[in-house]
Amino acid sequence: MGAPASGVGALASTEAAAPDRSSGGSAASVDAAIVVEGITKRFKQTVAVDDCHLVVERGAFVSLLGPSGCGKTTLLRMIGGFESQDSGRILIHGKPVDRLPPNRRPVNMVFQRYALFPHKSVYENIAFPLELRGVSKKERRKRVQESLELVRLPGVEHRRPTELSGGQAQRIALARALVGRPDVLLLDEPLTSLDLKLRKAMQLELRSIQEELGTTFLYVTHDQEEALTMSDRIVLMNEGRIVQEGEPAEIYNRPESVFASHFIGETNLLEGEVVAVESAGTRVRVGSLGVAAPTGDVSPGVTAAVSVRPQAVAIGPGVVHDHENRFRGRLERRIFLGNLVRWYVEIDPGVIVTAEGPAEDPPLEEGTDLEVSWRRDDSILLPEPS
Amino acid sequence: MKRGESVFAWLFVGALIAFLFLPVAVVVLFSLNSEASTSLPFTGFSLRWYHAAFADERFTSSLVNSVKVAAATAVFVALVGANASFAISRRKSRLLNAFSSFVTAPLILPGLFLGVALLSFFTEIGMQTSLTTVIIGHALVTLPFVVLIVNARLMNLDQSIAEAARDLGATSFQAYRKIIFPLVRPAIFGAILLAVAWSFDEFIITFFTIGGQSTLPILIWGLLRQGIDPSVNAIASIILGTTIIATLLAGRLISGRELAR
Amino acid sequence: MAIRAALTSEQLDLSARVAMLFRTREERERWLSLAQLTPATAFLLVFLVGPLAVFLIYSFWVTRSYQLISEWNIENYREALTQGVYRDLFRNTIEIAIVAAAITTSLAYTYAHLIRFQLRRFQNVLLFVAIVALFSGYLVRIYAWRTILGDEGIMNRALLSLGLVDKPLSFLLYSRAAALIVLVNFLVPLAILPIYAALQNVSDDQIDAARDLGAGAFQAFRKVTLPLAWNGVFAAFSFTFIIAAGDYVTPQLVGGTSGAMIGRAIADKFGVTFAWPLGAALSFLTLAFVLAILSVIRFGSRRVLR
Repeated sequence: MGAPASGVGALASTEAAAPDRSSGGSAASVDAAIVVEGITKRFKQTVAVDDCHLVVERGAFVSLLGPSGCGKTTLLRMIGGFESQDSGRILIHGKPVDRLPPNRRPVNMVFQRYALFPHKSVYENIAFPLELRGVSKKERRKRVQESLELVRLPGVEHRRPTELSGGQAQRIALARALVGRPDVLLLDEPLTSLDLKLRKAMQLELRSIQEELGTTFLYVTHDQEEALTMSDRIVLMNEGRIVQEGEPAEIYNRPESVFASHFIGETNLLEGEVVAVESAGTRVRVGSLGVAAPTGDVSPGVTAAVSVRPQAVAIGPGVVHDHENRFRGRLERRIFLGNLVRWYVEIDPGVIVTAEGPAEDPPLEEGTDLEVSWRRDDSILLPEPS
Repeated sequence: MKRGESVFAWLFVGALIAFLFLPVAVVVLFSLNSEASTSLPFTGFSLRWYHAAFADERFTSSLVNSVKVAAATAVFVALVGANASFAISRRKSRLLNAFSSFVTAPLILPGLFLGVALLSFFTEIGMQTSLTTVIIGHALVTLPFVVLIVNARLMNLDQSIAEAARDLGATSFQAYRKIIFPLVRPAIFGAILLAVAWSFDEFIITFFTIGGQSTLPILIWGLLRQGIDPSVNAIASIILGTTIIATLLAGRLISGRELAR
Repeated sequence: MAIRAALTSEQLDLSARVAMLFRTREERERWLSLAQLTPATAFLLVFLVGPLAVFLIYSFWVTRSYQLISEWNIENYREALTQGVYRDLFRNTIEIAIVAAAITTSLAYTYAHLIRFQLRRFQNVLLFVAIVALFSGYLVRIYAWRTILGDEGIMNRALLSLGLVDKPLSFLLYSRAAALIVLVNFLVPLAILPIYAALQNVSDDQIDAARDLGAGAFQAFRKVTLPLAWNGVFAAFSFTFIIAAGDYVTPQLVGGTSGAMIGRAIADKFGVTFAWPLGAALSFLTLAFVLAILSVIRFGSRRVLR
């Protein structure tokens, strides 16, 4: 697998071949599992991936998260070698792979619909990459066995892929992709065709397999919950661009754009105009209300949005907390969620704030006047709402 | 489904099948008749008309010719057609769509039209009519089968199967040889069998492009014009047996849905 | 880029050399596709386009003393259109072919519909039965009908022995009815395939939705199933119409005078009477008539089927 030339030599000649691309940053990240530098890909008129830069550290579980059509799968397929980029370059374990076909890249992929070979048994499927590499029969048997144990499905060697359940087929696809010990495993929404319960179980299992092996996983998903559950880092994409990158908590708690706050978790978005910027915080006028938010990179007069998570919003007639944001409103709707209750409160004509929390006793009636409040620091100031 | 509806359905379907296979049954039945007559009542079974056919040199030489033509046609269209299908299915483009309608054009032209057009063409370019020209004519009509059937199979293949093979270390040639081809092979063999069945039975195009030689359908045509010869039934049954067996075998390799398109 | 590195380090293997030849995978695939398409394209250009072109050219030539002469004129077409004998044959042909195609399409539709929606557990088997019928004989089949319908045939023998008639019904064979029976007999399997394929694309949900929204069984068929399957039905009709109009074995073997069709006249022009240009003109006119009628039907059906 991989380019036979030594890392340094190959890299040197690459730098010489593409002088305009040799950036200072690549020296520091040269050892990363994956380096994506300024990748762009167009299909006819549309730009699928637009100037993406990405560094995936070795041994990390990183998710590419975004709505369908955001370019995450295209980016993954370019790393795997199934699409070629129009510009930019890709390094895997420090070696450029741009001119390598998929079979010569040190990565393997788990496909959305498994892509098991229907005319081969489970054993033959898993042994396929070893066979191509000329691994001895004895060694093959041993490694297939290990792989099956890794995915906790020993004893199915002689079955045909058609005789497997969806969950089993997905495990076999995983075993097959891992048996060749790739530097990086690419996963293209591998759990989408499983039912919810199985999907949840597989999420945990994938994570523990990844920890057990220490292999770098790059995982594409449109399911934010899945990404939050499994990943060390999340790379959020929208319309072909990487819009934010960080640890799950960071992405969730400090979204940097309206898109990010919307896409990850539920949120209240209050759009308005920045009226005052002080050392203590920012004031945003939303309708007739003034909303307090932390300081941010805005100036008075610009439009901005304030995002508040429903869990951060407190309700009650006569709130006692020392919250900077307090508004009177009318309870429009109360929804029972099982362990929690969600309240929809209109605080200004057309401005509805959602709050979420443990059930109150006695239950509030719809139409009641009440007060909602949240701390200034729970407001997230997002410039330039789209 | 309500009971009455399905009784009606079975009645209709059964009657139509009976209508479709009535001629086949009649031919096979009379080929086994011990008398020379081709009418009821039936006096007894015998294989004498088969013996008579095999004793006739005209029959054996026609049989050999039919086999030659069918075999050559099948090999040719399998090679040419399967390759074209691979190219067509690889990428979608307007040009390739146009090409697939071009390939299937001979299917929608009447055999007579193709036959006399080919005859005119061979005459014009000074090509002697022979078994070779017959093979060309048969290839023209059976090529669409191969392209359509193999294409259907390739379309049903999950695109990511080939990608998975590449990803796991196969070169594009290896992916083709170890994964794609084995998965498509049954469809190619099925198409070959159907091409054989069609060729073995083909009459009109053969009639205009054959020159002095004879195939089994041509022999039957000649015998019909000479008046009643009961061995015609035996010869016809041999043709039917061959085509039906070929079709049944093809049915094990390809699904009806791949044909019904 | 790794390949460039490999070049300098004397690791020039074959795949690298090939990769150098065609820079990108897209380019490589395009060349491969081209190579794979060339034989089929060349074959069809020479042996399909070539013959049709020659045939078209011939229709504007003349024959003199059994020689084809390239004397360009439209006499053949004029003769084909003005002579009474051909006009009658064209009319006969179109009438027979259109009726045969209509009967064939209805029977095939009913069969396909029933196996798709009512006998669905057996649909694969029953579809395959149709395919076997498609591949079980053309000439043999027509010939068999002579045995069935002839004076000495099964039908007449049965009628005689039952005492229903006192002499064989000679009109069973050599009649328009006989021609229709035979044409329908070998065309039905051909029509089942495209119709079945079209019905495959009509989902049960669509029909259920129509029923749920208040359509009766017939309305659901008329307003939902048939329009959705119309392309397949029309393809089957066109297919069988063209082939019936161009058939010549059927009229020759069972048609008689009332079942005479143009196909036989065309075949004669290439056989006994050496009149290829006229035969070619007759062929193209047949095709033109058929296509004209089909486009009228196509146009009309687009308005009716909504």
